[in-house]
Amino acid sequence: MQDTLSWDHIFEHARQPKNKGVLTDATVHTLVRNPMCGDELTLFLDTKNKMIVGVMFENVGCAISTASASLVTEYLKGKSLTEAKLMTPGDVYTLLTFEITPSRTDCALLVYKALQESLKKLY
Amino acid sequence: MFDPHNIRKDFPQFDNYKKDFGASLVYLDSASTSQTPSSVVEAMNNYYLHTRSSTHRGLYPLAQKATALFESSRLDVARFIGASVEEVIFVPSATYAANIALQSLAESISLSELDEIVIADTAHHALLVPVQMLAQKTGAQVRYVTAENGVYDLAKVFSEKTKLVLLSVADNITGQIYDIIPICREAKKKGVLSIVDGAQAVGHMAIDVKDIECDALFFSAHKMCGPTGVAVLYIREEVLKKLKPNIGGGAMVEAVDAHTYSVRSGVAGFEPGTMPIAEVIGLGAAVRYLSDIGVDEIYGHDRALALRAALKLNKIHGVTAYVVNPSIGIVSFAISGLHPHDVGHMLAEGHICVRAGYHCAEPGVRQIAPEGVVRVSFYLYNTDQDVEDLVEAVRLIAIRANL
Repeated sequence: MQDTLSWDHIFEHARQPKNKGVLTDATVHTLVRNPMCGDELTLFLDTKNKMIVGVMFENVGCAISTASASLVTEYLKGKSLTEAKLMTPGDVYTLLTFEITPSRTDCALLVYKALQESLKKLY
Repeated sequence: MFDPHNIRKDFPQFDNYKKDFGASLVYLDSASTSQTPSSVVEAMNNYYLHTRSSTHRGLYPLAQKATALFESSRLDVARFIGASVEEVIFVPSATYAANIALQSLAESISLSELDEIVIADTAHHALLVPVQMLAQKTGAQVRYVTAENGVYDLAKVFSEKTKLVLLSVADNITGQIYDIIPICREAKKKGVLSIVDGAQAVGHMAIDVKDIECDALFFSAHKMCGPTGVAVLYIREEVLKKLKPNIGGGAMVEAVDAHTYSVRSGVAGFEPGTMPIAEVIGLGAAVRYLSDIGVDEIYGHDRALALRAALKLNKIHGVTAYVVNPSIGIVSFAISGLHPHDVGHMLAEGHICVRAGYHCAEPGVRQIAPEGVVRVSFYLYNTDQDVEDLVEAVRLIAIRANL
């Protein structure tokens, strides 16, 4: 099995994800889905003066998509929209510190997909 | 004497995996696609290296040899399922077979909004999606039927409006073998056309289409030790006579002029263009390989491994494995608190190959587990050691996940 520390890290975030919940009156929210596995995620972004002042997510999905959402939303807090736009898939993998094989990229990037679609709505 | 350890030697992939990855391959995903024995690869190579020619077209000895090899595969396949050669059509995939069977049969009865299509609620997307497409196109109603422990309530299957019934021999998620013979026979009496998905069953248990009495049945080569890229569509001769091909091209016509064409009768009308010649030859070799071993033996072996795996998995705290009877050798399970994808991923790290998710049968899977299931499938080259490796790995995963 992969380094148990890595799975521990994933499970820690998947079991008690940060920023999980509905953000009422969010500036924008986006629902995304992975058709192959059925993982679903809604990302809520609250923005003010081009800054992210609130970010939460609701989801049904695997540990990797959940952990990724927890880590990415934590990262996004207090960032500017510009900084959010500059975020890359590589940044997501770095946050995960977990080897993402091709079969798991859709899971790892589900929150990123939601972020991209949310940012499109804001601009 | 059936010995999976000996059988494994016929499949170079196992030794190659050890050389390439330095570990033993625990391949438990034959329900997605099966391993290929060397005799099948050799038959295909032999075509490419010694008999490379077109079929049914050339006048020269090489072409005649290729044609003979091709048609002898058709005969092997026909015998394998109890059909005649006049009823076996080669197609690119089982999904393709499902689509053209549905289209042609529906057209032959002028399916309309007055009619009803009945389909098993656990149907694979290969049937489910084209059925919905057909319903949208024709306005026909779709009604789902549910089996209890593999048995359908005959009284609930048919209505006066039913014109088509679609069933599977074996479930690709639970492994349940369905008792479809009574339904197909009743359909025949009522003049209802029946199409059967044999994808998980052919090559895994004895299949006799004359016994089942269905009007059409399809299966793929790659799920029964054959190559990818070819599948079989069986259509009962009396029904085939009434069908019109929807895919036109060369080889399927008698004569063509600027304004008209006439279609060749029989299976030829449904085999347009150049066929996947090497693949058909490979399929014939797969049929012969399995026939020599004995499909009944394979069936007994697979279901015994599946049952053993299910019973042992169920002893692990937090694991639910779905036990069915009779089983085609597939077992699905879920671990509480763990998403099937993560389970599949962790098993993969231990070189154990399974499938996780909805298995191209989303409505069926959602009935058992909304998040999907992990599916394990056994075939002739799997051993007791594979069961032990799987169970031990699942046990460790369940512990690691703090259950």
